[in-house]
Amino acid sequence: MPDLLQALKSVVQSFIKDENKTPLHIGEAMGCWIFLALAGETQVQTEAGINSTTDPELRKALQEAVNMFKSQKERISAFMRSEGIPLPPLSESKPISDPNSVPLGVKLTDNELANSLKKKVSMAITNCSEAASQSLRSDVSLIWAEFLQEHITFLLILKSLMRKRGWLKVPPPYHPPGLPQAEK
Amino acid sequence: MPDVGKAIKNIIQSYVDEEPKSPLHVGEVMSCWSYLSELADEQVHSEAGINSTTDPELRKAFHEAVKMFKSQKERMIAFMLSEGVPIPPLSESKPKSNPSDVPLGVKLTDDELANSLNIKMVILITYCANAIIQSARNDVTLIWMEYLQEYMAFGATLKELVKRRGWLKVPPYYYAPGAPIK
Repeated sequence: MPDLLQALKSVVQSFIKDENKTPLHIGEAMGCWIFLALAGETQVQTEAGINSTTDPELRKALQEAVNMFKSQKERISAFMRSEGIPLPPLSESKPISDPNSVPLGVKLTDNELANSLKKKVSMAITNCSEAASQSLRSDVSLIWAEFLQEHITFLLILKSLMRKRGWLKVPPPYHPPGLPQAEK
Repeated sequence: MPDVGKAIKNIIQSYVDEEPKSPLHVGEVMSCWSYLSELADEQVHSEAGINSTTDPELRKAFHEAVKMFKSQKERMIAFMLSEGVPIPPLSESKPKSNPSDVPLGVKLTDDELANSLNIKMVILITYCANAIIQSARNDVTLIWMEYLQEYMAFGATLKELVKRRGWLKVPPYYYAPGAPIK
């Protein structure tokens, strides 16, 4: 996907080469650790989401989220291991189960599932941007830019789905008197 | 800087096109409004920065920042006007002045100037990310994404300068006992 990342890569790549690698600073280490813990958690919760709904579109979106978090988890753990940062305890993947056997006192509606996924991705975006602005080593910034890019793209697509299905929660519109009419 | 705005647009354009253009919601308006007033301030601060230093590299970085802020300001104003959102009162550009005439009780050192610009990038990146999360309309998200990308690219370049000149403030290193040797 041509994007934010590509632009940044071209800028950063030159710096990475002639940068002598310092150890990570505590903020960078913290950013990695907390993100991995969150990504692990979110992946499992999203898997539980897949096991709670029969809606094909939502299942597809949730599955894509799981794939994204899984791949990010792998990349960040590999990086952390190479830098000598201990990994947080992570939850294990959930087995596949039948959505129709979930008792109604536990089952989340499709609307709730979609909104909870959106909230998680939003949180991840805040996390990534914070980590990106904190990090001093260019290769670390690049990791965060990569994740940020993936999350934002995912959020855009998810939001379209949610709007189509009427799940998107929209704050009150800004409607002052005399607002220009949208040209059709 | 390579034009990524266009590339992202291609991917997302279909999502943006299909979407009915609802009016902006209060959160989107709030982000645009306060961002614009912030942006004008940042531009003026950077101009004051240019008038405070004689270091050519730092001046160049400030000039680039001013250019970026200005172009973002224009785009944001155009968007807000088309959506019927009033514009906040904005600071005006500073005239040029001689850096050597600034009294020492007021003059910021190059180190301080560079770090203040760096902090601005940190704040603005967070700001854009927050605006992205809040916005419901995808065309609005796109605007913020463009800004975010510009800041991250500029921030990366600036960091390189700050590091090279020894102005970078580094938090304590994470030294785990037995960490692998590089």
